[in-house]
Amino acid sequence: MSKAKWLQIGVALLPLCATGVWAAANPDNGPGCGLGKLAWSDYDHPKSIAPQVMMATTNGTFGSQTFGISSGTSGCTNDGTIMAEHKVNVFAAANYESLSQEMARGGGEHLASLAELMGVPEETRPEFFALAQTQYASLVASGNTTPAAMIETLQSGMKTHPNLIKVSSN
Amino acid sequence: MSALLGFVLLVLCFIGNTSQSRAADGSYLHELQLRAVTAGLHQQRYWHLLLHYRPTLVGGYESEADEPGFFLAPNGKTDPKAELEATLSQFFSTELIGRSRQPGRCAFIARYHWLKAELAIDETRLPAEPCERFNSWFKELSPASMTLIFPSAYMNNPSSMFGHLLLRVDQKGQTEQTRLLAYTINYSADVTTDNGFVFAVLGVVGGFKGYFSTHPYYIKAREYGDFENRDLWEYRLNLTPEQIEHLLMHTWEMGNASLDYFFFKENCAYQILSLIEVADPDIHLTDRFWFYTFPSDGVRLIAEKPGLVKDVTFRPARATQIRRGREALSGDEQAWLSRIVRDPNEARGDSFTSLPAQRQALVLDVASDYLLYQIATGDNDTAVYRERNKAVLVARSQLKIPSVPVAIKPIAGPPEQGHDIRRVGLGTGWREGEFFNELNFRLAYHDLLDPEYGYTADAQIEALGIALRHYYRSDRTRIERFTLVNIVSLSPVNALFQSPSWKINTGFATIQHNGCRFCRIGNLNGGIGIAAESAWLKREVYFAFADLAAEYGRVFDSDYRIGGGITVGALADVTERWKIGLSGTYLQFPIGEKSGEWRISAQQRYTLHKNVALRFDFNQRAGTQEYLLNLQFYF
Repeated sequence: MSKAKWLQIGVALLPLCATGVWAAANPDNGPGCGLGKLAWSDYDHPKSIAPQVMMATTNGTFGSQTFGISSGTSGCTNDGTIMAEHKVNVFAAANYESLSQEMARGGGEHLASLAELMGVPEETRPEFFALAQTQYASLVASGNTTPAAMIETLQSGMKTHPNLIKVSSN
Repeated sequence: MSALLGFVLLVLCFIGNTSQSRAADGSYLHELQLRAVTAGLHQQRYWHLLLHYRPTLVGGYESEADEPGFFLAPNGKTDPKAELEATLSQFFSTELIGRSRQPGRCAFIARYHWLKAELAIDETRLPAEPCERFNSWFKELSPASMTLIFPSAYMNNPSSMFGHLLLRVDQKGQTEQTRLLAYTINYSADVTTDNGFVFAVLGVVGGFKGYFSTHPYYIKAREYGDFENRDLWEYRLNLTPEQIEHLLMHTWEMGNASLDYFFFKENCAYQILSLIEVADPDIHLTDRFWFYTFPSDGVRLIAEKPGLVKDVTFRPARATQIRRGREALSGDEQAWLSRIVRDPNEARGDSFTSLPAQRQALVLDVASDYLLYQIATGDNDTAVYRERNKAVLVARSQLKIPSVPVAIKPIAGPPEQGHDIRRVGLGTGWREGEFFNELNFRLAYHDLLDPEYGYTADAQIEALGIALRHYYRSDRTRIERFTLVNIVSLSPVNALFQSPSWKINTGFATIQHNGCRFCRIGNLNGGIGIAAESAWLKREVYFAFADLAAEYGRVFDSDYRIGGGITVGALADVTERWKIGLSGTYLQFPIGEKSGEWRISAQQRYTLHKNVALRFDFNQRAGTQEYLLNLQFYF
């Protein structure tokens, strides 16, 4: 346990619920909009960095501005909701690790949610899941394991799939 | 009310037909203000809820909102009537107001919606405002129902030790699989310091501003479930579409507000409950709290309203999935798991691949969960874990079978089924040849011997406890002990998890020392250690700590002593209701009064009812022995 944490425990006695955390700078250099950089996986020491960034993005200043209700347009959000054209990318960036895992497992709620955002109809989801499972090895083999590459891999797989091609061309 | 409304409508039919022109604005405004005040709308609960007014001690009102732009009258924070009149007046203007820069009727759409209905506002005399921003926001949320979410306690962050509350706006057409895409309504402080002490002080006195925000659930689920390892409890609320609309309209107008954030009372739980009151003004939630609002008390209040909760869903944190997943494996498979997380190439060996594909999948799934857990929470270089996880997942994808969904059993019960937070105890005991009676009270929250159901296991947080004793032979009544705070976090280690356990405790105690029979001392001590668990009887936890201790009291030579030592002990659930705790401590004090001390304690608890327990404690401290039989009630 770090010294800083002991200090917190010693002095920050017991607020009754989460209150947000120390503000941290929001790195606004992702693809398209600020939220694209929600890739926490980019940090080598997530325990020391990710929670702060995470909290800053979700509870702190970034949170109240970006996801602030009736706050107007900011980055890729509009009054606190994510603009339609950014939804897939933001979701993939925020859930990259769970999505990788569920691709390999051939299903799961993150993958189902991604399918929903990509417009894959309910009845072809089993095929989409099976495709994702096949595509996982090629995603890793390509060496480009970023959220954007993940989406691209899935889309290119769908283009050659008889029942998913219609969705991918939308 | 409905009779009045009917009458007003009738009157309006006549008036409305005769005045088509907005030239009559001034007179119509005046008429609405007069009718609103005559009808006493400014005294109604709903108006008070929308403006967050609370009665003051001197008989007036004051709003808990703290941003001037949230009020349309200069004295709106303290004058519900002036605010009502100014609000109506603002409705006749298209000026952009509030932090959200919208016309009054859009910025404060819940107020408009309510007043329009109460006063039957005639849109021919006050033409409708389109409010496109609100409409597209509402359409994007696509609300079908509301779910109250309780992320359970997280011991390793002092701001989350008691859990949290937020709302999720369930979308139309949402399934179990796509609930991640729903938006949440979250209330949190905008923390502006990284200094722990300043953080604590400002948090207690309301020095931070609280805001509402709408993160997608997948961000909150990741924050709680992956980074902080907090299980989530989801309570789907039974609200009508109209109630949901009211709640969201009010949430929208709270986009113009900030509220001073107080750790103890006006916190996340309090403000989330205030939104639910707007949905259904007949349920009283926030006025049930006086000095503090515990998130779990919020859940308890919601759960005890008949019919308000439709269903309860448990969403396990990553660590819970790993623990349960590992339990579902055979001994051999657990050994495979340990090997594979260290070297994923093991998953390619003939002996592993000869297992049935379904069993291989189970092992690899837990392995990947474990590696992701390390990536999210580990101190060390995570690149290693990332590479291992990739290798595990490639092996998993080549099995070409989907994972069978496993129902994960919660480790702690649902929070509303745990014992109540405050505790009072009545006891009788014996100390060094003398009988005494004891009355004790603890404001919060849970100790390791309290009935555990509904609470995070192996986590103790006691705050503000006091014990009064009357001793018979010496005929004296005294404050025997006072606990400011006493926290213990035990983290049993196993092949996969190795986190330190820790504890901190401060308060006043009574000791017998240097010939003084009843001597009050102040103490502060903490420790860091290790814990392990077994399942011989039901469940046992063992612990060992390295302690640091400082004590202050006139009984000591030079008034104080500082030192350290070790503690070892065990906790055992003998049956569902019966729990035993044993511990022994040796402390050596080299600074101040030089001395050494043994402490031994043996405690037992028997649960009689969710909120009643019997305790029998034996304590020995530096040769002073004491027995206490104690009946405890939680309320």
